[in-house]
Amino acid sequence: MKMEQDPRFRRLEAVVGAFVIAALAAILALFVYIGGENDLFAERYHLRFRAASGTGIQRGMPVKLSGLRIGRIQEISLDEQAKVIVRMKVDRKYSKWIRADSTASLLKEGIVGESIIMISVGSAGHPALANDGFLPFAEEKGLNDIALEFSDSVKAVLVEVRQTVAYINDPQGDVKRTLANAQRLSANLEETRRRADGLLLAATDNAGRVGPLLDDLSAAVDNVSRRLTPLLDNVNTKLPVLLDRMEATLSNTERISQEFRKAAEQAAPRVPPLLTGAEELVEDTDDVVKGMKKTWPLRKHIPQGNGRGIVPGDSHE
Amino acid sequence: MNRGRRRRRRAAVAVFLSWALLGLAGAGCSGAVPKPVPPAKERAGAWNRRGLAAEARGDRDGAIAAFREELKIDRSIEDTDGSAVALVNLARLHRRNGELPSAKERIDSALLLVPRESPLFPETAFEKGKIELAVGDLPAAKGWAGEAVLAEKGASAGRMRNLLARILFLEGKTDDAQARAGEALEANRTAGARGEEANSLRLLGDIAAARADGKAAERLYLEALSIDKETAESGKIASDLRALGAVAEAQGDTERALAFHSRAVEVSRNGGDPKEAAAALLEMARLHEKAGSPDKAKSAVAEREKLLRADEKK
Repeated sequence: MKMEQDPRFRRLEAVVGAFVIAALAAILALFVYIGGENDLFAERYHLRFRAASGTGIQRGMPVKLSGLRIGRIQEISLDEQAKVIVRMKVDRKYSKWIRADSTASLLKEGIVGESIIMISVGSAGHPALANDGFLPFAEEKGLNDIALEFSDSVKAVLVEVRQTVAYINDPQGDVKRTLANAQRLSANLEETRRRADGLLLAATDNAGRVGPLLDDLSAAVDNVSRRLTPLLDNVNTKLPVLLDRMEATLSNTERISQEFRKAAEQAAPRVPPLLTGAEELVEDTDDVVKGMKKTWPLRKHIPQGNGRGIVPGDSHE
Repeated sequence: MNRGRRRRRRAAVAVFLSWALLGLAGAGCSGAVPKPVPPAKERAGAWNRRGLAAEARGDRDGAIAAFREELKIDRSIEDTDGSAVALVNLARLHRRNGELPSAKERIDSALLLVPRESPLFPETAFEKGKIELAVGDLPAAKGWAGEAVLAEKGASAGRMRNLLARILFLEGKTDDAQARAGEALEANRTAGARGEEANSLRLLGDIAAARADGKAAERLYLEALSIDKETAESGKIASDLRALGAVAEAQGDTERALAFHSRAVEVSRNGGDPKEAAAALLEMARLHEKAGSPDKAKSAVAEREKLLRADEKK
């Protein structure tokens, strides 16, 4: 008996075979492509660094050299001194730039960007690091740390300034008392001047009475000079102390302003990229939101740019 | 036979799915893509939305600032419609702030820009009527409220009629006021404007109370109260409670009147309206005095003074 065969299924096996082979080839190509993208086939080696704290460091975090991703963090562990040992898996082809004087540092890409480990390019005079070699880890000061440092320094100056001002303002203090004495003295001098004027007038009227009047004047001058001497002594003793204090405060202020300038210089180069990053992020977000606003079905629920509304009115108000 | 039926069913399902897919694709593509809006108009629109949002959250100064920005942009591109909207909004907010000269100036500027056939005219006329009412010029207020009623054919018709009815009531024309308020109630019920429906009921309650029809007034105020609770309008709830207190007092039930006023005090105090709370406390003091409880009256007056002092400090 002869089996009847449908002509449509005559090449079925060949077609199915070709389809399976094509699918396998596509899967393989995809695997190779993804592997290539993720550097699965690149030759790797390991580098390590030791950090005081593991805050902000995570497994899988990208490792970059001159802005290019060259590897990832593979392992984080503690050593005997409870220091954090971070082991990185790095593409071997970049090893020629990672030398004994290269450093690793923890950075953030932009304000809201991801954290990365940045390795600095080593100089040609130093040997390349071997597998599992140690890199020095540079602790970068964050903007917060810089601000805190500045705030501590400023606090110290402010305390000193406040103490000095309180010293000057103290009603029982030397400065206030000296000033009060000086005020009294000037009042006395004014009184003496008036008396001297009177004396001179009287002298023109009555030359014969000049003698006793001069005696009066001399007594008054003696009196003033007696009171002036301790006052000036007091000023002489206290003023240098006050000037010393002011000088110390000024030198302190100068030192702190220098420190602040240094801190600002450290922070300043990081600010423009941060701002640029933030600006780019905002522009990108704006583009995405604008795109979404024009997309169905969202566009039906979003008021158009020129659609205006009126504050709801109420007849009862 | 069975196989044939199955094949037909499959074909039907395939056709249905194809149509469904086509329908979905059509729905996605058919909606007209919005016309590109010039950046200046987009910015003005954004300020308008910011202003509305600020007023909704109670930040009136923020809202006024936003509408001013909107007006500035609109004027820079001679956008008459946009300017009119911004001016009406500014006039409304200035009126609510009690800045009546500014409100008048803004609404008069808006009226110069809005022709009678403009869809914005009813709202502009309504606001003009409200401002004239606040100023105390009843004839002018009635004129503008009448214009608003004539021009509005949409969902706000009930609101416009409510205003006209209130003005008529204030003029002492209770029959006309009742007729207008009845029309307003119908219009608001048809439009589903619950807040304005409560306003119509409250106004009808006021008219009934003025005619010494305590029972009708109480029923209407209670209906209004129920809607105001539904829409959660603190100020209006307090107003309904005080009106109910006045009706109870007119009926000689001082205890009940005190209870309503006490509730009004709580509502106003917690709703952030110390002046209303103080007014209700004064009513309570009067009622305590009337009921022969001078101590309680004194305590209510003391509480009122404390409340007003705290408000002044703020």
